[in-house]
Amino acid sequence: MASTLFKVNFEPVSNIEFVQRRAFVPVDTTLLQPLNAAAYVDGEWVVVNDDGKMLRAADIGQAAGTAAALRGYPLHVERGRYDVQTIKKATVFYMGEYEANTRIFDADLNGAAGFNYGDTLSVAVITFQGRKFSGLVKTAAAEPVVGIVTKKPSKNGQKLRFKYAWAK
Amino acid sequence: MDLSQAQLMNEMFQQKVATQEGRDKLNEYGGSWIRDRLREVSFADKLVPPERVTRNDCQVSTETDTLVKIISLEPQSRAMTIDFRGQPEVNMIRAPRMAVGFFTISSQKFEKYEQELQAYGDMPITKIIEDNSVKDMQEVKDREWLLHVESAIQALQEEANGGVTALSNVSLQAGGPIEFSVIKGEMARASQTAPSATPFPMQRPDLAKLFKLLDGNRLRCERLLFTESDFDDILSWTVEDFGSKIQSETTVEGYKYQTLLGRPFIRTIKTDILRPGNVYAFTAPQFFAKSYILNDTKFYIDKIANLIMFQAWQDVAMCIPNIAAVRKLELYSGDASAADANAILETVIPRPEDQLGAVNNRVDAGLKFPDIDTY
Repeated sequence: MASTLFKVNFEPVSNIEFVQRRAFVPVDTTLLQPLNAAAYVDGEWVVVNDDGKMLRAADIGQAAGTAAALRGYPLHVERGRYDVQTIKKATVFYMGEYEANTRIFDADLNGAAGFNYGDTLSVAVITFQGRKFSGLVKTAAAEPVVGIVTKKPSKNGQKLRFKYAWAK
Repeated sequence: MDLSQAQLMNEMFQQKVATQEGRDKLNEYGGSWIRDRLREVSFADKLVPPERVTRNDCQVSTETDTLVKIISLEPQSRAMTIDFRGQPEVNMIRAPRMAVGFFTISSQKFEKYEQELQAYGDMPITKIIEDNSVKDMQEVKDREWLLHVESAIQALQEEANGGVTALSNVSLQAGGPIEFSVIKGEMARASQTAPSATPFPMQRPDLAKLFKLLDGNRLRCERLLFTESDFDDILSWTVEDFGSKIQSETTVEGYKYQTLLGRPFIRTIKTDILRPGNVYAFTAPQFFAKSYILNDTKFYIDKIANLIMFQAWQDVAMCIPNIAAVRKLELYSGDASAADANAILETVIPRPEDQLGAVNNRVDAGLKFPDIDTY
């Protein structure tokens, strides 16, 4: 069953008081405009480049399944927020531990067994609702790990719950 | 402030911050102090005085928990002559509107171990941080505002030229771009050297031509904004520019008037935000821009175990509905358009946020004189 895009796609379920929430300017600021067909949505994963600007961890210009080379950070701002559009900066969970529900994951996982508790998660290009996202997939090979499954979608209202993890 | 007073202030601060009542009082005190400083220092606030709004003045997004204020501009209209039997054309009245989004300007989150505060017996470091955080926030507000001003100017310039067009001494001498919202100073225009970001001295005719960009467009220049270093060029104006009376005054007392060629001006020392060589002309605020404060500056202070933390922030919005109400004079010969034909754009636009207010002293690098080792 494919994932579905909502107004809110990334919801922390743990205390975020000690998570460092840092805002970055995107390389392409037009992706902050909600009517852009490739607009950023909350729950997508981004990285920060040498210029201190953010871009998608997995390039959605590539084929579905193309993995991110670097460990990324989840976007914490919903598409089209007026404050984000005004200052052209978006906030990510930059440092610290957390647990969250997300809708930005590969729900179909063709040929895979689906998500199970304890599975490690990485970032890759995923497709649903006719567009691509930089979202979560089960870790395949030696990809950077960004999380661990704590509740599978079928037990969590079709949202994937995961907690922060890091490994490369 | 002598040593004992500074120590006492820091000790009192530590005692206050140890109790909830004390923290509440410090928050109130910090809040009052910050409001007074804000009215004075931002040049954006001098040019466009901010209005205080409440949640009830704003609209909420149906998609997110963020706010905008809807601003209307006046509708277009005109008159016409008709004979006794004629009828005028119909105008289905419509006023343009725009939404302006609110965002937060915040200081850094300052943290200090209470034991280490005792090391600052010779200065009230907490009060200095309060003052500095106000100035830091004002700088960011000025930077944001100036970026919007520059976008407005370049948008009109692109429209007049049918696209992004380099504006430099070279392109002007080749008979190229239209100077619609930006003009070059006379010395920059006539320069025969390679285009650069080095500003030439501001001349009296430069300002007269700048005024005409607004005055010739059914608007009137009511304010000028330039840096202190560009203002200093006025001190080099001759008796032909000033007349003998002002010339002799200026020689002794400097230029002490608040207007220049009949227009009030604002000078700023923030040359990392308004870079030297850029002179802006604005109409009165009601023809130009809006600035709002949704939540006045709030000051947070807390103490967890031996760690003291404080932060200040305010929620604001700003917009330029009428992009034709601002014009620019460039005193340098290089191109400052989006084309950046001479690779000078970085040196003529506001510095990035994290590079504002760069440190001048080099004490931590060991550059201090006389250099004495303590042991």
